[in-house]
Amino acid sequence: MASAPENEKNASAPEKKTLTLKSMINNEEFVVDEHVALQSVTIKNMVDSDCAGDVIPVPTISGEILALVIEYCKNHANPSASEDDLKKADAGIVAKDIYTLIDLVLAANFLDIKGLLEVTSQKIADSIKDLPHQDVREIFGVENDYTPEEEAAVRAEHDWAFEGFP
Amino acid sequence: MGAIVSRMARSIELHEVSLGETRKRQRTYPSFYEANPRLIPSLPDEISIQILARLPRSCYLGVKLVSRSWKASILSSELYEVRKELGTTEEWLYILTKVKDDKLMWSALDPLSMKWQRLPLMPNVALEEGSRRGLSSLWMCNILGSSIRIADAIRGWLGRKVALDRMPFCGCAVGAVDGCIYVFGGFAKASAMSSVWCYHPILNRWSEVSPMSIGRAYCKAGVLNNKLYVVGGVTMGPEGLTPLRTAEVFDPCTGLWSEVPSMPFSKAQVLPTVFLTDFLKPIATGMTSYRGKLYVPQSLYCWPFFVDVGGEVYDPETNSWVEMPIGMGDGWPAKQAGTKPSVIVDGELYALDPSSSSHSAKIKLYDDEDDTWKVVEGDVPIHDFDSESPYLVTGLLGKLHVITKDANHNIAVMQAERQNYSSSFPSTSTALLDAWRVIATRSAGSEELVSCQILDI
Repeated sequence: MASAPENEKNASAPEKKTLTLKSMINNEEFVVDEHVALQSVTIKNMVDSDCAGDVIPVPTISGEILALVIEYCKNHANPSASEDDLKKADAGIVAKDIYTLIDLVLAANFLDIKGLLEVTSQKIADSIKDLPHQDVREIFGVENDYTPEEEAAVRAEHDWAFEGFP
Repeated sequence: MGAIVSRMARSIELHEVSLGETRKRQRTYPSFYEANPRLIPSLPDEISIQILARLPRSCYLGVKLVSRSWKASILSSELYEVRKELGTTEEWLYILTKVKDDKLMWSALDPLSMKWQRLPLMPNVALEEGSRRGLSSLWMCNILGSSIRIADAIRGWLGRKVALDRMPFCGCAVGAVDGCIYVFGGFAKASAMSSVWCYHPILNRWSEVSPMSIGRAYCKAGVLNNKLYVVGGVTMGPEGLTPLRTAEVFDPCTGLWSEVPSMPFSKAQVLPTVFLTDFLKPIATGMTSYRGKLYVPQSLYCWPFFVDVGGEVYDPETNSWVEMPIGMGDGWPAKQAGTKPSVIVDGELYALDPSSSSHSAKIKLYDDEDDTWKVVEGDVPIHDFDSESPYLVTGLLGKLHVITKDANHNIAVMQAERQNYSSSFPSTSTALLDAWRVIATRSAGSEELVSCQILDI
């Protein structure tokens, strides 16, 4: 998922501004072009209000996840990327296990990157849609708080709907 | 470092107010979810709701089983608001069939997964299992209509005595508005019912809503400006069955009915003799909501004859009826005596002209500039043996669909691929519908098709 080479742009704009994002989980730092980072509304707001220093600390997001976020932002900051390219690139970014996706959706939410929030939520939905409810519980660590009677009633509604239909 | 973090936190706080719409929207599902365990423990509920809203609707009955919070969320209207915002709503086809013992059943088809599911029984049908006695006058099973030919069902309205209590079942009307299906009236035993039932797909439940002002069987229903109109039908008067000219409108927002001017049936007023006026009774044979008005084809009926007399058009702006354009009324294809179903797809009015000995079934499209019904090229694959059993026509996913029951007792849903207009067609015909594709089937045994509706949620 490498982004397009920036050489040409850099040549014409040698003083391109960069920002350094730093994961506060494992202190990993990422130097990114400002226009790439500004796809995060949270970062944009910081920059706009002069709250951003040279290094922007990003709490609660690991370097691994931050790398994915930056990859997404780079792809979408590239004006020559076609819709198809972006779709493919997005699919690559979210081709992860469910726990990575959960971290990623949290990061997208915190950094306020609408597009990434959307593709990640969709991917999570796609990964659970065909699973039995017991698996959904287990994956997300949801406690089953139904009484046996309540659960039987919900199950009966489900079974009535599908019984005898292909 | 700590200083930077806290500065960042502050700046985020400061900007919360001015953040984009997404974030603001996400913050509008407060108290209910906060009082319950999180849907997904590691995620804020506003994100979990976004995930749930992106699940196919066919999963909802299953994921309700995850936990109480999941069920509560699936049953909440907020979820469906989010689906609207995200554009993840899904159109499903709902088919009403008559099963054995004249009971009625609704089934839904999800055209994406091709999965069918059964809706809960309408309330009084369910009651029938346990406490049928004492409720017989409200027994939905008897009220709700079916596919019997209307000409048979209302045979001998006038001048002939009918053993009404032996009438096996009768006609309800159905309509859909505001994400719910409504079932209007019908016959129960010897009376026409005014009851109205509503199916709420989010709750997956039926409930009774305000009744119509009068009992109606075989009335026609249609939606205009998000309100449900019913016109005509027959009711039980002191002198037996009486055709109705009256109309009324249901507003799902208020749950109330209001009066609409009665159909004038002006054609019936100009019959040459009093004799004919007495014997020919005007009835509404269909209703469609087209270009902001309600179009009602009408017939004069005297057992066993139906005489088509054009129709009338209700304009909600002037709150009055005018005559239907002549070509529209004359050419409106009848499904069978007394019923003229039609469907709007993409703003265009279509009807199915059933096969006869001289031609196979065709779709006709109304051309309002020429005031004619034009044949759409391409045969509809409904065979002669089917002509006795009813078919349904509907618009799903922006395409014309015909639902039939085939020789193998399967219900088949056929989708038409509409080709582009072409000037090479003769002037009486227009767009081409040549590719009919069966998109779904299910075995139906002795079930008979009654009606269908579409819900997009």
